[in-house]
Amino acid sequence: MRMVKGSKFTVVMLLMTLVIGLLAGCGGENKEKSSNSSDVSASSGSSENTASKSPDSDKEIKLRMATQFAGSDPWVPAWTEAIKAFEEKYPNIKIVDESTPVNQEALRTKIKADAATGNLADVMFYFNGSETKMLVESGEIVSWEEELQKDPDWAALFNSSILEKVKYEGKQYSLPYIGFYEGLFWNKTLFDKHQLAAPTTYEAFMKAVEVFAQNDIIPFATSLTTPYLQEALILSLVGPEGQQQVYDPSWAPAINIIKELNEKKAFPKDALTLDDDKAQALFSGEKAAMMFNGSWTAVGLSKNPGIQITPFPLVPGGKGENMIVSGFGSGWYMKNNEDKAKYDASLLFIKFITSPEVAGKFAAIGGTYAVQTLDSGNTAELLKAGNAMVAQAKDFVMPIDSYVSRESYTEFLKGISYVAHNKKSAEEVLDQAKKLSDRNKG
Amino acid sequence: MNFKDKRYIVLFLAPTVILLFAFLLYPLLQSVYYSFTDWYNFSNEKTFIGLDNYKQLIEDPVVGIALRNTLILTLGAIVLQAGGGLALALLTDSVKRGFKFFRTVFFFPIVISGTAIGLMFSIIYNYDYGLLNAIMRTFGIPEQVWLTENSSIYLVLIPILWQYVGFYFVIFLTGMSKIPEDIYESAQLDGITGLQKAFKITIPLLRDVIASCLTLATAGALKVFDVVYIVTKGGPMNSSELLSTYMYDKAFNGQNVGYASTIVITMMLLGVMITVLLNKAVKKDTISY
Repeated sequence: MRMVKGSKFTVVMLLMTLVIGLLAGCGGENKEKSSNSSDVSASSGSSENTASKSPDSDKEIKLRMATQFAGSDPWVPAWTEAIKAFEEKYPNIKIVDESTPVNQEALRTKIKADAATGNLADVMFYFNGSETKMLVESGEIVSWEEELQKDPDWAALFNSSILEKVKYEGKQYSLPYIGFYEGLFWNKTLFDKHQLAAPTTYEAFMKAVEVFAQNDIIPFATSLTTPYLQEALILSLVGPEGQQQVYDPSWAPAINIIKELNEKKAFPKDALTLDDDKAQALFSGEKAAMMFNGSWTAVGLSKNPGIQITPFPLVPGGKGENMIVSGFGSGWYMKNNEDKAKYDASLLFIKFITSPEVAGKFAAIGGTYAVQTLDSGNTAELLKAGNAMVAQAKDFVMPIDSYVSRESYTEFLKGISYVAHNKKSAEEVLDQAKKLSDRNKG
Repeated sequence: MNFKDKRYIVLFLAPTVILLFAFLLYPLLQSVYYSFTDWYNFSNEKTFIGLDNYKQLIEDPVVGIALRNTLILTLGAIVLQAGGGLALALLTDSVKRGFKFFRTVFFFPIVISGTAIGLMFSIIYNYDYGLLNAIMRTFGIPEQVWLTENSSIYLVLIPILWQYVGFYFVIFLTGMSKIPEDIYESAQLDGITGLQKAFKITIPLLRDVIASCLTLATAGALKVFDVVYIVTKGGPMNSSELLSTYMYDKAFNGQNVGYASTIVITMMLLGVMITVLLNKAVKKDTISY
């Protein structure tokens, strides 16, 4: 009998512990980002580590933030530090960081679901272009003209031509911030070792592919499931105007170059299943000689002084010489809060994050900027070369996925593998993507 | 039964009914509606398009691949998962020592999440630093690209089978423990061998357990997602696509929720159909000892 009583007591205790544990777990759901410690040193210049008064300093305000600065995003340390500095400066404002990685479309899905359910975050760093439409349709976001007019000093921090470029239907819903560029990264040490010329012309590029393939070095690190190489080839072949002709048959020869490169063993053997991180690792580990990728990879690569960057060479008969895929694909959006205190706090945060001091911290990690940045003085040579490439480029275009439907674009990307392995023709892939694009013009 | 009793029945059943309706039936009915709409980008705009999504589904070559792969997976689950579980249970039951050790080892993969298993196998199959190619290098054999168009579905089958074989193993062991010992004792007096014991006594007496396991294995195979998504993402070139991975791809990568809902309804109908057929094929007579 004692045993039975004892075991009943144990079961009751266990159940209570479980219930208390669950309740405690639920209670901790408010994921307040109380600023984790960051690797990036130095406080934000504007924060000065002294508490300032926000517009309604008696009331505690919670601001929800949804950005891409999460997971393996290179700007996570700068973002974490910025939140910490902001919360120190305005102690009555608490940041609830709902940042989500862009991988696997997680951020897109989150923001779209938030918009559909009327639950948008107060501040968002999100895509421009076709994605702005969805946010505008929600009727919940601020158009920045009035605020920029009210604060000319703050407005002067932005590059006006870039502001103009990211307007949607003539209105400024997004404030551009970090820009990106895509370029051909190449390992000069490996090129010199095999006495090869820099891959600045198509002939030199193809010669390098041939020589490296013969010498058991992967000529070109890429996954056939990522968009960068085809973006470069299409722009090089058809130029900026042609690139705007969505899935036009004129793109086919560019896609066929991928098939040609695959036949010449230019890609890693597992390019069909490789992901972009592993492709980058092949290049940074000097197992591959070239890689076409975005400016976000430049910081990691800049530790190797042998890595250089150049625009993708002009393909035979091409119209896109010295033109690059670049732009301000994302920007700061703000919810049009009816609660004045929240509105003001959100605005305060946007002004804080776009200040030259904070933007300077982001700039030290990489990218080009639409706002003035305070030079941290330690910009790596590769980043300087990237910025020089952008400065010398004849024209810029946004990536294809910024103006086509997601479904058509994912089908198009998948189709590249089929073309590379001769399972479908480039024309078939383009036709399939065009049909999906026509069905959903959104 | 008086009214007072009924009131308590309603009271106690209400939470479950409400939860089931809110989180299962209502979303399911909504999905049926969405499958007849053009709904992109999780927007608030949905356009009724009748059977267009179903027409697209019939013409979609990837759906054909996904159905073929689902069939392979279902057969694999029935033969290797349930069959493997039974074989392991029979073998373990007859060992004199180490019963607890084997039981723990075979059951262990069940407690690991599918995501972790998927990650582990994606590392095993990796071309550059994977375990399989490391073994190949050790023996001086050229490295292989393991996940190819022809092999991918079979290679993702391995972790799925490995993960769940222990589950059926435990179910069979429990079933076997209920078979009265005196049946075996009298058979032993008649000079029965180990194999005869398994085929003439244990398996026939486990018939109802086997029927339940077959239903569970089939239903489980139709729900597989995590391991395949982590190891291959349905690739290369859609070769390991399942209805579940294709649905996810259409809903979250392609943001075409209407078409993804059509795939969901197809999965559900397929599941119901196979389960009904299987239940009819393997009659679950209760066996009394």
